[in-house]
Amino acid sequence: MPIPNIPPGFKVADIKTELGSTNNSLKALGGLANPPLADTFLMSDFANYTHYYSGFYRNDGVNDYAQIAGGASTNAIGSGALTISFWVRNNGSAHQNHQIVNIAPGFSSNDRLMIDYNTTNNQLRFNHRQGSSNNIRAYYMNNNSSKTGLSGNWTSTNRGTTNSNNWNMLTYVYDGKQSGLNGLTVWWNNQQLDYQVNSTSGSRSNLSMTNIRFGENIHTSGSAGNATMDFDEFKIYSRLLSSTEINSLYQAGSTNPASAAAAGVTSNLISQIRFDGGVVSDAEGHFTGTAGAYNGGQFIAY
Amino acid sequence: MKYYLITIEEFNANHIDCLHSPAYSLDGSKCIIEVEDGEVVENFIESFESGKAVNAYRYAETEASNWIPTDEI
Repeated sequence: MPIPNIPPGFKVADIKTELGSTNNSLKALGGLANPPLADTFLMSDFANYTHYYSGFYRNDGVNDYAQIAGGASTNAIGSGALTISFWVRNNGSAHQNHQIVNIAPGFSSNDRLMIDYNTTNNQLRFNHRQGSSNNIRAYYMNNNSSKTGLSGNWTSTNRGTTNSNNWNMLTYVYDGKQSGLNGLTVWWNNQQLDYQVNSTSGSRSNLSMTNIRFGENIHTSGSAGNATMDFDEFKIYSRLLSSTEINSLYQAGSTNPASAAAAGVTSNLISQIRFDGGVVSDAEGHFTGTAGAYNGGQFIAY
Repeated sequence: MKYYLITIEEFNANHIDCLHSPAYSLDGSKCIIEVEDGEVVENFIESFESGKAVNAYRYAETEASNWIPTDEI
């Protein structure tokens, strides 16, 4: 992008103001400073900074995915308290399945936490899968139309109630201390959904949250469930968020998901993946790797 | 990016080293590959300009049973 003309009388000392050092934003260049600008900013510091952008991740629905391999094993899916919240924009015009997020201890087994959309039954699903056991809770979109605004299958032409740029915030609050999936609530934007199917089989114990994949099954690529979606502002909390906090996150992102951080809901935030600057990295450090997109997935600036 | 539907024989003969992993049909007889703009692909069954076009094809009633497993988990 071209740098704007420097106005007459502009002083070197004005650069700090022009770059917006008070909010750590390289506004004049249309992006953010990484790392944030120091209070005392020197011209010589420019060499230490890279310019990156606020953006989101786009999955094509054919073979793309984004992931981080490697994460702390201490936070587990199972016996504890977790809240997983993120924004998606459904770009699939066909009636199709969407593998939205998988979190798992490995890349080759069925063991995983799986969040997906199933078009056959028009369901949002949460599955704590272990061995051959599935603990699934499913939410019919048509039975939740008063909450979702959907009147049929979830597609790019029928996105239901969204923010002003067609994004949905999905939140899964999971109290693992309760038996089965009794401790699960699912939220469409700021509306709690009613579940219609609760299928539990076999035991359910802790799964280590070591790896995460967006847009595809964690053990495959190019599946029929490859998501045709945009992703942004993925967060995991090691506690149960309240309805007030979920509403705050949604309202803060009512125009742009990237603004959801302004809600200030940060207590026990253990993972935050923002897809800024063309990388998949965790600002809170639970997932330790840094990666990009695979098979042609795109990072797009707002 | 552009997408091509090709047979598995064509894939094994000319695209085994393709940059992006393909999406396979359930019986493994065909696959869809994604290539960079300008890359030449010959002997294709069908080409698609976008991922949306791919999915309009494979999720259509006539093709869905060739791409979507019965057990969708």
